[in-house]
Amino acid sequence: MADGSSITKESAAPASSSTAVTHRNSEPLSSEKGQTTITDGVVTKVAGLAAREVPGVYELGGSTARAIGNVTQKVGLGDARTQGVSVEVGQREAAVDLTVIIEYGESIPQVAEAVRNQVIKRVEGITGLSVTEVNITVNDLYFPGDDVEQPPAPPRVA
Amino acid sequence: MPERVQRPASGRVLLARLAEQVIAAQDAVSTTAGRDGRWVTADGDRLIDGVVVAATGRRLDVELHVVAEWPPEPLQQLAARLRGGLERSASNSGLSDQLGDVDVAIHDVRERGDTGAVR
Repeated sequence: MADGSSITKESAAPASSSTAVTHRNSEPLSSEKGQTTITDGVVTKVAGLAAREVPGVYELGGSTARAIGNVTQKVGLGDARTQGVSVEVGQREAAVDLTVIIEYGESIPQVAEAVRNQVIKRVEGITGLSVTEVNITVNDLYFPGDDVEQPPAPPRVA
Repeated sequence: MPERVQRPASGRVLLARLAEQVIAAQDAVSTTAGRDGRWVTADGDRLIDGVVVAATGRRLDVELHVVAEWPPEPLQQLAARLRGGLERSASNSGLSDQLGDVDVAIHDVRERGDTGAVR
């Protein structure tokens, strides 16, 4: 399937308790005994790992991102777990954009909804941030035979 | 070669050792020295990774730089547990009057077996 076939939905999370967790690039959570800082990379990683927990998700990231990711991972600069994940983190809220590849045969709307729910559950539960939206782009479908290397075609002439 | 003089550890180093022990005693969390190894405390010939202790006035503020294991507990709880553990250890060691703020920075979340560097 060509890139660009996408389903994008927005889902407002239920208003959660306003836990005053803040992040690097802003003020950290303060208490009289010290501060707690959760870096933006942690939020990105949590969202990526949460999405991968959902059955039917084959991989995250577009074809270009994955190709570049393969190279950067080999030289130790990339991390597959953050591929295809973009987050915007504020003082109390976060918005998540995901690009996913779904296994052929799965219901795309159902998998997308399950991904959205899982990301909201994990990010809110682990970081205390309220997730305002999870935008999902289904970038491709995975067929089980895609990974199998095709044998070379037999010669057509003797 | 001159014989090396053994000096008693300072309160700063003692607190760093306690912090190291507190983190090591917890499940699903480990320390990180950072990409360029800046979050460390020198303890004689070795470095204590992920712990920075610095004097502020008459007290010693402690920074704990950690990585949580997936799936982590709520990170605020993790930070509170580390902070509380260090306060108890310092109290038991007679160092509570020296302990200042305990800042906890969570830099990454990793799956078991993932040893990638913190970026």
